[in-house]
Amino acid sequence: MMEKALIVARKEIAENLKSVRYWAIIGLFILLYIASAYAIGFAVRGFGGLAIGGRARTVLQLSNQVVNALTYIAPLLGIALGFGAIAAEREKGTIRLVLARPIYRDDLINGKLIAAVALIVLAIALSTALAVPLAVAMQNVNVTSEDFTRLALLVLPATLLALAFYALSLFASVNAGRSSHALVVSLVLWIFFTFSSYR
Amino acid sequence: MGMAEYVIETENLVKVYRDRSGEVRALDGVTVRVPRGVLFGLFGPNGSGKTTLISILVGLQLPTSGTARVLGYDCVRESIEIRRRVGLLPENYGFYEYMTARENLEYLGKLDGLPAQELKRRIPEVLELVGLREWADAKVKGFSRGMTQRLALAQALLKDPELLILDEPTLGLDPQGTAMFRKLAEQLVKQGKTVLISTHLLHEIGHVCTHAALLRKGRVIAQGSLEELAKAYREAKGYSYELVVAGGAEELLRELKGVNGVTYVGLENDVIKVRASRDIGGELAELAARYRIRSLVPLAPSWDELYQFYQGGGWE
Repeated sequence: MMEKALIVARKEIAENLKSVRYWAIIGLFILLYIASAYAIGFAVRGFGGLAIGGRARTVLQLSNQVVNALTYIAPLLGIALGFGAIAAEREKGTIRLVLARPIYRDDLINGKLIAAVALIVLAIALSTALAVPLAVAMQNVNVTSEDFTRLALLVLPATLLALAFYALSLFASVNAGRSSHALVVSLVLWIFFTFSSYR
Repeated sequence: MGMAEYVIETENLVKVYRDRSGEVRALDGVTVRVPRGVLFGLFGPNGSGKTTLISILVGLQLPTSGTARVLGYDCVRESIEIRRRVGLLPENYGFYEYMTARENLEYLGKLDGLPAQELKRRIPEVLELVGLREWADAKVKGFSRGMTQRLALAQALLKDPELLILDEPTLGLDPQGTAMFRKLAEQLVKQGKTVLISTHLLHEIGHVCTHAALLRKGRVIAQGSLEELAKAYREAKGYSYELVVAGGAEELLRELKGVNGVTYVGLENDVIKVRASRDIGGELAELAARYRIRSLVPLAPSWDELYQFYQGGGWE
């Protein structure tokens, strides 16, 4: 049963690794990390350097910024991968050739889901691995391995957040007639969940 | 004809679509039987239920009521087994455009459950069959409509299916592409396969079909072999024959006009056309023996003429 889902997953992963959209999102992640690092550096210098908050405070601020960045971007990664997952296949007609095979619809959706997990983990891990050391270097502070572990652990909730939004946009993609409709529904949900948490 | 000789059997198939504006009966009691090893036409104008019927046959839609079996498998409970054995060229399909023809076929072939070794052998074979071998490693994005349609036929042939269902296969094709489709369909039938062609373009591909079901507004208005369907047509509209003569046509023409039931006799370039209100095949064969006649052919009505005859008018 899983065999067909894995075939779909492999194709989805290959397709996304070749797509500009996927790498653009990873680039956006990295930019956001760096921008956060700049912002912290600016604030810290403005208050007279590390003397005010100390090293621990800067690392905490950096962690907070990473969390903030992931809160915004991780759902967008999920949405970017999910909104067209089924609706775009329907629009292009590729789904007709796929479903003409001995494959259950569940296999198709499971395959997309497996690919999404792999792509989301890769995107978040890669961008965190590249951007966090860069951001730390910008702060000019010594970060302990414990700090690194804490930052690395942020990848897990970020992945879950991205997957939650992937699931929502996949649901929209399955039910919407067009991928543009699925995108709008997904973005409305993102705005609702992201900004309602600030109340 | 026994049960096993039909590759497709439907019984009183009904499909109703419901929405806010009401309900549409896309299929209204369709009973169709497709014999094994024939080129079968599913003919009808747009909206007559052809695509809905095909979707139900391969298990992509569920019927509202009625039963359908394909290759002995139930279309509702055993649709996976059906799709394992049936090659389908659906209407309004699309390929992954950033992938090459070979990559598309590899992906679809894997979903068909074909082993890698078989795919390696089969992909060049089917691309050769449809005339796309040299385009195997070209991205589908650059393909013309005709090339895409050929690739669509290739994907349907990939698993070497015993039943091939082609939904509007010649739509958008140039005459050369259409001729290729006709030839290939005939070849496949000679190999013992059954080919079902659904089309509203009867003049393009209909004439290669030996059997057909004529659909109108979700109902089958007639079905059977060309000969079976032509029988009622001839009884109502008359019989037509064509004789090719080698000489002495004037005397033959006089005799033909005297045959009981003959309503028209005309000569054009050694070809005599005869129309009669009854079957005069026997009398013509006797005359053929006495005159220098190269050939005597009873003319069959075209599927277009048959469709119009059975539905009592033009496409509607």
